[in-house]
Amino acid sequence: MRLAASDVVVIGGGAIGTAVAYYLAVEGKSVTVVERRGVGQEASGANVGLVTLFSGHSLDEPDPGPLYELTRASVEAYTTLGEEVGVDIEYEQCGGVVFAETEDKLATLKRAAEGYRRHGVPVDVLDPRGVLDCEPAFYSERILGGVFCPLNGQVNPLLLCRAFATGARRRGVRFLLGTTVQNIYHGNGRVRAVKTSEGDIPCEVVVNAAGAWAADIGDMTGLRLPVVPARGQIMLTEPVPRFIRRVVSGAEPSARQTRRGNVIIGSTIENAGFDKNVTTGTIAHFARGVLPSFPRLAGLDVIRTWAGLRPATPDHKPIIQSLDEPAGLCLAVGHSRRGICYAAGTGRLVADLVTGRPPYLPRDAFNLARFAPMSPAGGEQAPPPPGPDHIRARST
Amino acid sequence: MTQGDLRMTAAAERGRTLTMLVDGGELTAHEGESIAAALLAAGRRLTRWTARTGEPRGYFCGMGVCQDCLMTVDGLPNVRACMTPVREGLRVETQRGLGEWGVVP
Repeated sequence: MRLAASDVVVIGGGAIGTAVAYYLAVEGKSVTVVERRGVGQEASGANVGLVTLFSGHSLDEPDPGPLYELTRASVEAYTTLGEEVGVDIEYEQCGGVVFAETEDKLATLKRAAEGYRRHGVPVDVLDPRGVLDCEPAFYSERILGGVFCPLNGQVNPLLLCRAFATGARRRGVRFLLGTTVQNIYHGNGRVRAVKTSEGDIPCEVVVNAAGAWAADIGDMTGLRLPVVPARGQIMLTEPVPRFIRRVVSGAEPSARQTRRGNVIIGSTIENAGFDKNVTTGTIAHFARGVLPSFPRLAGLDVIRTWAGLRPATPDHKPIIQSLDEPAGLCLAVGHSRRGICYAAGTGRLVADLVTGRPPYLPRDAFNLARFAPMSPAGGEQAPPPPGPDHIRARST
Repeated sequence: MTQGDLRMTAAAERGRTLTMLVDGGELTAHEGESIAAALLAAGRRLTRWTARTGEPRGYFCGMGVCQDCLMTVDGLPNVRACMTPVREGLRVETQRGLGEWGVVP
C-alpha cells in the first residue's frame, strides 16, 4: 500500500523526533512522523527532566562549545515553546548547583567554570558552605565545593514531547503512531521512500531519530551506527510541598522536585541490553543513597519506579548529520543522557541541514566520522561508561 | 465543631482523656483513638481540600489505603488521620492542597 508522500519522514516520536518535525514544519516542509509506540513513550518520557547549561558535559568541554550551543538553543526554545503551542511544559530556570566531592572533580569544575565565565555564561564558584546555602534541602559532609549556574533548570519531559507534537500537528505534520518502519528504500545514491507497517511513504529526506533503536534503522541503509541502549532507573515519591528549589547535580543519586510536588530520584547508566526492568537492588540503593543528602525524604512513600533506554554513543555525544550517501538521509541520534537538553537545539540544526541554509553550528560538529570505523557487522559495542554525575548500579 | 459526642457509650472502655489542637482549637480525645476517630466523634468529616480542584475530602477507607484523609500533623503535611494515634498536645490542621511544611517539634 502506498501512503501520501511527504518531503520528510521522521523515524521516532520522542523528544528528538517531535522537535525535528516541529522545526521542519515551521520551515514549511511536509513531514510524517513514524513512531512504533506513542509520542515520548521511551527514553523521552522516562528521564529526570533536567535542562542544564553547566553540567557534566561542561567537564569535557571546558569552554562553551557545540554541546553548550545545542543546549542554549534548547533553553531559548523552551522559554517560549509553551506559549507558542499552548502547552505548559513546566519549564523552570530555577538555577542549579554542580558540586564536587573529590579534589580532581573540583579542579575540573573550576576550570570549566572559568572557561564558561570568560564567554559570559553566568557561573559562580562556591565553597562548601555556599553549595549548602544554595539548596537548603540538600546536605552532604563530603562537599569540597561546587559551581552554581542560574540558567540551569528543569522541564516536564512528557509535556515537552506533547508540546512539540501539538505544535507539529497544528502545522500539518502527520503522525503515524503504533507504526513500525520496515525498510528504507534508496537507490541511485539517495533515499526514495520509507516502508512502514501501514504502507510506503515516498519522501526526499529521512531523519533517523529512533533513540535506542537507531542502529536498527541505520542497518536498513547499510549504515552501522554506534548507538546502544543504556538503561536508566528512576523512582518517584508522593507529591509533597515544594522543598527542593534548585537542580542539584553531583549527588549519587540526585533528586529534583516536579511542579506537582513529586520528587524524582535517579538515575543509573547500565548496560542491560533492551531490558527495561527495574531492579529492587537499585531502588534500595537509591533510597539509602538519597536519604542522607535530602533528609526530608524520610517517611515519604515511593509511588512509582521505572526504567528507560537511552541512546548512548561511545563518547556520550549525539550524532547530528546530513549524509551525502545516500543523499537525503539525516541522523539525529545518540543523545545519551541529554536528549531533553538537546532536543530543540537538534530540531533547529536538522531544519538548517535539511533546508540547506547555513547551519547555526559547524556542519561537522556532531559527525559520525569522529568514531573509528565501526567493527564488522555483529561486533560488540563497548558498554557505555558511567557519566561524571551518575552512578553505575549493579543489577540484582 | 464539637456539637455533641458521637462515641458509643455502652460497654466501652476508653483510654484516659487528653487534649489536642485542631486548627488551633482544643479538642478532647481518648488515648488509643486515631485522629480520624476523634474528629469523627466530634462530628467533623473534613480533613483537607484537594490540590488541583480544591474539593473537600474526608475519611473514605478508614484503614490507611485510600490516602484521602491526609492532614498536616505536628507540622508534617500528608499524614493519614486514620492511621495516626492521638497524643496530648498534638497539632492537627486541615490541609489545603499539599499543605505546607510547618515547624516540627
